[in-house]
Amino acid sequence: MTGPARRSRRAGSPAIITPRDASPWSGRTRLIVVPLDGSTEAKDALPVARLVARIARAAIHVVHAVDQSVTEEDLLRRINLRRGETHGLVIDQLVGTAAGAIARFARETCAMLIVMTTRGKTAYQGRTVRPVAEEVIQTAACPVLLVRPEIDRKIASLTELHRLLLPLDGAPSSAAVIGPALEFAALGGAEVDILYVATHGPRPSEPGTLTAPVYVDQPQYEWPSWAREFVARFGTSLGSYPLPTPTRLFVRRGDPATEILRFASEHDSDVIVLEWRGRMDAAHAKVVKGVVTGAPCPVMLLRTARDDDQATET
Amino acid sequence: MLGRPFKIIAFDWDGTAVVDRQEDATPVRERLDRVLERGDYVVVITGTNFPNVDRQLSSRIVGPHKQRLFVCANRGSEVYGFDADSRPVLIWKRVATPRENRLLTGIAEAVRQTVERRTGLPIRVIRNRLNRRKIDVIPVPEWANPAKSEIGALLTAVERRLAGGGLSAGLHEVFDLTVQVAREKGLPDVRVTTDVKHVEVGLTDKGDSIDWMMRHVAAAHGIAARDVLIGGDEFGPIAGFEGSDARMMVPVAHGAVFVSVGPEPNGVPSGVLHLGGGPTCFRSLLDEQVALRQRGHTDFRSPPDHPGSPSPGLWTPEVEAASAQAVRPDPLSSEPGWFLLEDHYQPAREREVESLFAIANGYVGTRGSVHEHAPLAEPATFVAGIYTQRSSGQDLVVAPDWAEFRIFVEDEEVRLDRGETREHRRLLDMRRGLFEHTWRFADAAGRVTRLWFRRLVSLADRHALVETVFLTPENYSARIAVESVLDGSVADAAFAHYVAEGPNQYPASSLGRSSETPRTGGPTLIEVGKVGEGHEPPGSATTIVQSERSIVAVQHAVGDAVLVFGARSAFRAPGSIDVDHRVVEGDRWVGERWEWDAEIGVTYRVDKLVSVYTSRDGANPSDLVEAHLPTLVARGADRLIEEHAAAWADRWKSASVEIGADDDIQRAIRFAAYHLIAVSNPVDERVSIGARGLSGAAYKGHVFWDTEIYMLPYFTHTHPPSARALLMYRYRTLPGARQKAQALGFRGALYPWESTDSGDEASPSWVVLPDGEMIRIVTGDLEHHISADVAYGVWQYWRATGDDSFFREAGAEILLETARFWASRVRLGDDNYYHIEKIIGPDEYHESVDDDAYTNAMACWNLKRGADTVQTLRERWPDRWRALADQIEIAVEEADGWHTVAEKMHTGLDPTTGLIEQFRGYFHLDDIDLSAYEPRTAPIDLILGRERVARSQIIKQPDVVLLMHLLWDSFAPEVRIANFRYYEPRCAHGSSLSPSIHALVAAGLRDQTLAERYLRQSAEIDLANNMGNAAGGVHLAAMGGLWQATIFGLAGMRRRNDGLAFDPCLLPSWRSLGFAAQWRNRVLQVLVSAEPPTVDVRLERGEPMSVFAGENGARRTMVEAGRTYRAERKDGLWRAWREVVR
Repeated sequence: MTGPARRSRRAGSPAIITPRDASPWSGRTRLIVVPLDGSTEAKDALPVARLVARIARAAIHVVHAVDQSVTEEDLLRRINLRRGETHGLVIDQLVGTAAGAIARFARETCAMLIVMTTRGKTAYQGRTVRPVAEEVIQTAACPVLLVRPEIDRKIASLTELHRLLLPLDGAPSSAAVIGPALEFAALGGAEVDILYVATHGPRPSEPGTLTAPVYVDQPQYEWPSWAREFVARFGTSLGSYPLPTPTRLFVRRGDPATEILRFASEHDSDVIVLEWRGRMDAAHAKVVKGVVTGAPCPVMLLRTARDDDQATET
Repeated sequence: MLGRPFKIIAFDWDGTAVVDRQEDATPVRERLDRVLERGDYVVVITGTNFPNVDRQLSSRIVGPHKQRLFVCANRGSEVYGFDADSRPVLIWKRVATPRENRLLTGIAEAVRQTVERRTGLPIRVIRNRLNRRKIDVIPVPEWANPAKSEIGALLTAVERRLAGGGLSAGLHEVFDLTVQVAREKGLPDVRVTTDVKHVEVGLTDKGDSIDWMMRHVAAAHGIAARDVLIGGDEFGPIAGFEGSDARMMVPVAHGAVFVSVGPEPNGVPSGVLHLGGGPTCFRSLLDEQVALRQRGHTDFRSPPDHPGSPSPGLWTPEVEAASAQAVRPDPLSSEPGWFLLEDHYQPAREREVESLFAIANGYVGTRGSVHEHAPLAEPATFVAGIYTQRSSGQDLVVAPDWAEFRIFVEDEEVRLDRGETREHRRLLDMRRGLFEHTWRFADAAGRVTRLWFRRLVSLADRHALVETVFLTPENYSARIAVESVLDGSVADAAFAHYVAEGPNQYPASSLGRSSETPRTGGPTLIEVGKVGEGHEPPGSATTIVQSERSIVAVQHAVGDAVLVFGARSAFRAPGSIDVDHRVVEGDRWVGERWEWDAEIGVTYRVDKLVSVYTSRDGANPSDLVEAHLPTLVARGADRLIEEHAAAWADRWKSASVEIGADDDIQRAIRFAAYHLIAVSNPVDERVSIGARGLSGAAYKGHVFWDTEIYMLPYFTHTHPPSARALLMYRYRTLPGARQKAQALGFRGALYPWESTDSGDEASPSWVVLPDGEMIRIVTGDLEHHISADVAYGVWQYWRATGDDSFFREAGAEILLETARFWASRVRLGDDNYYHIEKIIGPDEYHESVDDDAYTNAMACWNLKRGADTVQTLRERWPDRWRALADQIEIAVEEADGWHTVAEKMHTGLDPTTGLIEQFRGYFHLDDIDLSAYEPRTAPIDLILGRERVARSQIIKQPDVVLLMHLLWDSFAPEVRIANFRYYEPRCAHGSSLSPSIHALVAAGLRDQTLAERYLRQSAEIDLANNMGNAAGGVHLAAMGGLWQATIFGLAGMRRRNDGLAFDPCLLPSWRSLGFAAQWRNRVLQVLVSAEPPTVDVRLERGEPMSVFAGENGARRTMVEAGRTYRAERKDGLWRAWREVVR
């Protein structure tokens, strides 16, 4: 029986346990961070993290924030893990406040991903996610994969990555998420469904924006031409076209969050990848909040430095 | 003085604009105020700080025009602009690093100590200057603040002082010492200058101000270097030192016009025009600029004939050579509206930009692609009428890419992804039909190469294509190779390539035979070509080497169609150099490779001349290429460019539209006219214009009603032969239209909704939308109004041109066969009215409707004109009538019945409201408020769903409103207004054909607000950079609509049986609208002015004709050639025409 690789150190003294690799995210280590707070809900992140770790050949670091160092036994008890559940995990205790320590650990280890649940011990009445998760996604530099404990049946069935859903709003700056998303999909051999949701609202002013065609003189030509241009234009984020991953483009109309959720349910998407601009206050991230709140599958937030003023509200 | 206006006036302040900083600057400030007001830019360049100039000049200029004023202060280290409230804003500043500041001080102090040590004289260092230090070599009270006029005495005093201290070379020695110390201390790119009293060491100089101006004012606004005037007073040397203003002559300003108003006792450098006269002269120069621009607003303008002049904005060797003599009259060159400029590379927009910058001549079109291995690049060349067959139907063939050049430095290809792009510009010179591209590129080794490409497809010789590349290794010498390539890898269908076996000898057995299997592999067919002997023209040291053999590309398209491209290239270089030449090839490409040892700073040139023919031009197009290519070689690239530019100038004479004070619309209307000219071919009656012309692959080159209703009027009134050719295409495809009618159980001719070369229906039956929905496309089955649209085009062309031979031999047959179709298409209802059922009108949101208003009215019109045609033929050309009657088996009685049908056609008009119901039951549909869905980023049928839209009154594009335009005189004014007011808010503008017609009708109804909104919407369809819908090609119908909205709407030009009428309604911001129009072998110049409201008509040539002014043509006169007549509106009424002297 192999026990967990146990380490105990303060955040701020990172140990690189795997060599850096250019894939899937350049400059990041193949290290996945899973924060556990001892709740049953938080543990729902582990199956998803194990899937990602398997396809990305990455190590999983379970982290738990403590006021001061505790013993291994105490640590396992606090995170509600039995010894039989720790196979393949590195378990770290971080000293400090939970969200800050998690984000710092991920940053200092150049982690490729944080996987955590939207619910845990702390209450999150009226909030999209639990406070710790909210703070982590706003401060973490790496992508965050959020898992709703409510979708336990989906989590249980998620043994492979088949379909990845990538909603795009047509602005060139949003293309920053495409490369990482497609590389992630390629790791798991997944197909990518790009979803554009047409809605009414202001047109992004960013030059090069491609929303649905304003003029459809003849649908038999305009739509195929537009779809081809849309995929090609956003394929440039990879520096190559055609795209290396099987990719399909879909168009829906209506409220973006509602349509994304509807699409994900209808097509049994395994992961939804969303562009994330780092602001969770009331005036921002309407789509992200809507999707995270009701997602039938894990949601990966890929952070971009996009200027909010140039974009439609997503 | 200079004879032409400039768009940017930049000048030194002290000594040029004012005598000194104490002078009252009111006179020059007032003039600059006017220059700014007219829309031009003013850039003040000064060595002093901003407050000094602000106090004297800029603080006293107030208004929105002040945003075009810039003050470049502190000797190149700062730039100030002004906000909308006229407040100064620091918009650029060179910030020295702490190390640079330390070095500057260190250099100045070291010089001071050295000079003091060697001379024993006190030397002072002034440190409190931004990014520079001043070393005062004569810090004595009597020379504390010398005037410029005292510079001679100052120099004497300085030299005497330094020489007395033992520095025999005086000021020069201090200057050289400063340069040396700066070098030793390791400050790169240091600027050392002197005004005699001081030697200054700094990080910037006036050249940085010019550099900033050229990049951030000129380039940003598409202003050519040659439209920039740079003034100073010290260009020439003083005391052996370069004049301070000579620093402004930086490379980026090549082509700008430099003038000096200073005394310049030692002359001026080459390229500077010495005017003298000081600030007084400078003010006169400003007066001239204001006067030139004011005159320009009221002149009829036709493009000058300067085909050889270099294009603005881009560096060329010609520009460099011409810079010294750039001062010459050229009244249009200062208008950026003639150019489309894309001055940086945006990957996402690549395909869109390629479409916008496409060049074409009606026979062949090439997208504005650049060959840099950009990820999204989609280079494509199309030949009109050459299609390929796919499972989804016929597509225009993508021909071999004839325009490709590949550049190699030390065998490393210059590619976008292998280094750093320093400059990237594409420019479309619409006046001359030229595509130009500048690319400065630093490779991984830091080697900077400047490339400048110029491309044309000749309007003078439609089979001639030319591309030239100028190449300059800026900072290195190396082995360079240029490959001039015919690339079949981008082309559709079978492809083969080879080299002619000898000079002008083609292996006939292997070219252009449709029955042969194209050679695409196997043993090479390439033989190494022989390089012709270089020769030096008399009086020139240039090496010119012309390849003797041609490379040839052959492509087989649908059926027996064959395309043949033949190319030869030439290499040019200064001096006598050795160049290697060989033919290179790949699987699907062939090229000529020129390779030589390139020297730093030397410009080399390679010309590629291409001949293209297809099997539509002759049984063996290779023979045609063989005969044609040597004629291109004989003429050479420069002459071909001149001929091409002259052909464009000729077309613009009858096509130019000049708008006073609306740069956006001016550019858009010129852009529209450019692309329309580019896709027309007056000598080919077998092709028409596809929806996206020859600029992109979208719509597959298929021809719709767009041509007759939206584009044809432009050609009818600017170039009738092109209009005639388009209509002859309909005549030649009449058999296909007859077959379609017959197949559907009707008589006569039903034109296909989509057609290609044959005239057969080319509409697809299904399309899968991106939301997965598969929808049936029924336009090919049900959209029948196209037959009436073609007939309308025929009739209007005949009426406007008086081309009786066309009407008699072709047009009449179209009118009769289309009228016959409608007579068979209608059904007599129980109400004793005729109905057209299960139809689609222009509003394609509602399919299979009954009694579409547009279709019924146009059918009615068609029937009447059919009957008129019978009568006209019988009266004027009875022989032709008898022949035609026999041929198509038509009798007078049949035409008589058309009148009956027309008179009893269901119209949908409610006489009580004046409203015309768009189709039966329309008024009972859901009335959805469209404003609740604005703004939106998708067409409304996507937002709401097709079914919901179909159940509503939302329409895709004008149907009844289009009728108001086409049959304006058939409707009472109150009917026009009632219907426009009803349908306009219900139109979702889901078609690019929609905004222009709304602008046109709104102008006719004198609704300036809506006219302006829709005109601008129409103008932005291709030119807005956040729409993304031009990637597949430009929207030619929208362009034709924009021209119609401008001429028929805002100028109010109406075509009458007895002449042309004008009832203008200019946009509020417009001062004038001038344009050319043709009418029955006459050419008119029309100028509509806003204040006072007048219409001037000048008949350039042709017989006298009637013109009218005002609604219903209230004022009439007869105009004669060579004379100008004016109608003026006073107190709301048009007064009688009177002749005016121009």
